[in-house]
Amino acid sequence: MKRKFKIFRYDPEKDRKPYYKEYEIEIEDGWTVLDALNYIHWYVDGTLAYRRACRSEICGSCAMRINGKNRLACKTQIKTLGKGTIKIEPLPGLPIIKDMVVDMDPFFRNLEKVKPYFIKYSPLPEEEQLQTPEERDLINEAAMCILCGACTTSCPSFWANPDYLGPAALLKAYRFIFDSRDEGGKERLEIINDRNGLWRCHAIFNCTEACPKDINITYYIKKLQNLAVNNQF
Amino acid sequence: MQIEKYYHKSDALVVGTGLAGLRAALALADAGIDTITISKVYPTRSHSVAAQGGIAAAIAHASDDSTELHMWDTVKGSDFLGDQDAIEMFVNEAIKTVYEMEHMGVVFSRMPDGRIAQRRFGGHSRPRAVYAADYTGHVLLHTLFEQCIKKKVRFFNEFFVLKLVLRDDGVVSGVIAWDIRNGGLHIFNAKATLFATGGFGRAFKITSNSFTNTGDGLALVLREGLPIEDLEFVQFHPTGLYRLGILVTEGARGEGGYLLNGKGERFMERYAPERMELAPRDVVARAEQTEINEGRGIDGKDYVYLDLRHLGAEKIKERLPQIRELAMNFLGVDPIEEPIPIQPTAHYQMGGIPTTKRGEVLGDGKTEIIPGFYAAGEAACVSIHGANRLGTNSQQEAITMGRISGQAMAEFVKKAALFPIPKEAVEEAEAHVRKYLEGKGSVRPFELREKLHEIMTGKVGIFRNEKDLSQAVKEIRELEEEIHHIHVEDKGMKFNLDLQEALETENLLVFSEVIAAGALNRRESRGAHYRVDYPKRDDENWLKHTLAWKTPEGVRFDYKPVVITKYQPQERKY
Amino acid sequence: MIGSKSLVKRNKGAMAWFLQRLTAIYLFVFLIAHFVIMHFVGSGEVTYGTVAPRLSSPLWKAGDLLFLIFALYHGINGLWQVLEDYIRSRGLRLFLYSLLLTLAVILFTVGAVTIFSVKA
Repeated sequence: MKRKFKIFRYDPEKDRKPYYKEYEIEIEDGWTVLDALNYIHWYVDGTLAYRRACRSEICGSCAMRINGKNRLACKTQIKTLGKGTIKIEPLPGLPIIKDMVVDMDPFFRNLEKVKPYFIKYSPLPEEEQLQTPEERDLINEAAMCILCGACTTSCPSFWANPDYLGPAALLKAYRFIFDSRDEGGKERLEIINDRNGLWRCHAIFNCTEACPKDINITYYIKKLQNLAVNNQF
Repeated sequence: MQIEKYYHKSDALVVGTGLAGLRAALALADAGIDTITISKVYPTRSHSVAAQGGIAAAIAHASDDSTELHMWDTVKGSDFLGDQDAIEMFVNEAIKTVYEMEHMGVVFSRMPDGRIAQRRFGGHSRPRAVYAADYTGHVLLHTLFEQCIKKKVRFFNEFFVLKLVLRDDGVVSGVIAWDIRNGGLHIFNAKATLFATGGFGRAFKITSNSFTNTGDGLALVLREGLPIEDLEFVQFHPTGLYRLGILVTEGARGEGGYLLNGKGERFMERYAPERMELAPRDVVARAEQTEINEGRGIDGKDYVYLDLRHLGAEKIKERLPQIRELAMNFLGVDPIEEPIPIQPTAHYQMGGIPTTKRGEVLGDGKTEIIPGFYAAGEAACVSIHGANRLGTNSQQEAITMGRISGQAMAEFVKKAALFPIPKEAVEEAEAHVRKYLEGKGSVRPFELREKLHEIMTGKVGIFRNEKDLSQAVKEIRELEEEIHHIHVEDKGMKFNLDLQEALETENLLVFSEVIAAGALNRRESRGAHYRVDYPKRDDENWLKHTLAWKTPEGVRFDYKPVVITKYQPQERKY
Repeated sequence: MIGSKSLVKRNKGAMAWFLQRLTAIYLFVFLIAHFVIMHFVGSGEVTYGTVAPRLSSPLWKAGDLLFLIFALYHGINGLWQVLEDYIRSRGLRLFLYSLLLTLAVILFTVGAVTIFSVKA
């Protein structure tokens, strides 16, 4: 079956402006968008640039905008994209390096701001710290985040304001603040309780919709907002 | 064309940011050593993230397990090729590793009383796999990444290493890398360098491995005239998604999943009556391939079924959520309703860069330590896995050996001097890139790769024989000639994926010859290496490790004895 | 994990977020009351004679004043949130913030005068 792809192209060394280039290729049943990109890169146009690694929905490399939605290319079956031309673009809101490759550094810098690591001040036991399955359930979904950036780059608040921590960083804060073993919750809450932190979230739900791991990110941000307000009194 | 050069100095250098690399970087940072990590990708994209089932340690939460049992299972699993001194150290350190990772915040699955849960895995006689549902590698890798952020490790992400700098005086003093994002050569000068560059699955057509697993570290080491150990032992994982090779964790069988052939039989009865589906991977993969070859695949085709339906919806959703999602997305099969079509998939390299138990690389493969050079994880061969690795021992090895090597490096660095990088090394690396950026060939990188895939999967697969293997060696050598005529379409500096693929293809060819030649050379069957023309293990002639060097004339071999301390080789039955 | 007892000292948006919701609840209740009283209770005839006595009671005056304050807070704070999303320059922010505050003061004065000047 033939399918058309309209792909965002921009090489700052050559092009003054970004443009779209169309490719029509023969695809096989069961192909994902990543399979199509690989095919184009290998057999049609070797200058095409994009990121990919695991091709099994877990490494988070191949997040891009497909038909106007942020998705993982390796997870997106072509047959779910209707009949028309498939439009492929880089994630919005981040500097473009080339074609679908964006600079993820601002994304990771925001992550680093929320102390995205386990903090413990009291002495550790010789063996494991106990945690019941129920306590673990609180953070299980949040810990599934693959840091692909689909959520943060789908958030209008982030587009408008790159200083906004963004849903991924807030989710990471949630994962530790609500971890029954962690002791850095207070200092983290201090950081995210900020006009460019928690309170920039206007519950638009784009992040939740974009998340390829189906994490209900908005819900967790709301839980953090509740916690922050409760801490005012 | 102008290629910019940038110079960096640090005490320690870690190449690769999977579990082994990050754990080593963390150990170095903990010791107060200034550390740089280099990776082809952002750290969280490293292939360790795709590990699913668990990490082995005899913490005995779910049974009467002991380190002795873990050691025995590993030795037996290795088909007696594993070095027993290394294995003994490994099983003891493994327990420490699990608690240490928990102390860093890993969200391991728990028992109702709050202790860490354990599950069954192939080749392990007790439930020994510590896990986090079926995304254990993901939580381990992210946790180590987080800790490295905390310790302010300096990350150089998206750099491709072109050359290992092995000086004439036999000292390793860093690497030279290509900046994937912006172009340009970066010269990293360090007192000690660790290779945690991962595996080589991408040499094969059907593989569970990420696009990044092109065995670059092996190629870099071979190019410097150093040996590689036991590379002929390639693990084929029994359960890869049909045609795609995407991993379905052994944990699925650990939780009680069955393997069924076209007749609906649990065929493992005939191959491993006692352990059934939980026999080691070499045994199960061979059994599957035999069923397929003898026409008992599903509808006579080249796959069999992994049946999880009897586990029930609740258990599948709780313990194997990722597997369910992958099967639904890629094959349109919901494991709650239907069995999953699976086939063996190239998964892991048992061999690698020969090291001591402290991760020091051996220049002659035997005793001679190269100052300033370390290796850990899948890229290294200690050898803990011998001829066949048990599931969950690899994540454990990556973290445990990462820690041990990192600590050894820290000790070394405190006493060592910084040796400069010779000018010639930089020139050589530059010429290496220029060859592709300025060359005018006609062969596309992927054409070569496809040819290699056919050779490796067709002739160097699960079942091997003299004729196919000698043919494979010949054909790979021909491909190595063709690499000089490669055509890189993209001549730009910025994120040149075409250039990267050309460099990776060359690396694949460099070590693939060693795999095939090693398999041809080893005329016995042991662990994952199975010769139909020599179907028996031959302890008299082959109870020894292969060491292989690349020479212009072909692969040169030498051998070293297996370290046997507690357990004498015996018949391996499951 | 933190308990809800520990205190976050600086207010960096939490209070604004909370008050936005609190005022929303008041506005909502007040609006319902307005509809019920104006359209379902009483004769349905809206003249100065029917409305003035109600509006002159001190209880109603207090309710209306609260409504005025809350509606202004809710509206101005809402606008401010939107502006903060899109206006990045400090100077322009300061200018717009002053403008909003001035607007609030004027509207409050006009509203307050109206509320207090009603006599039966």
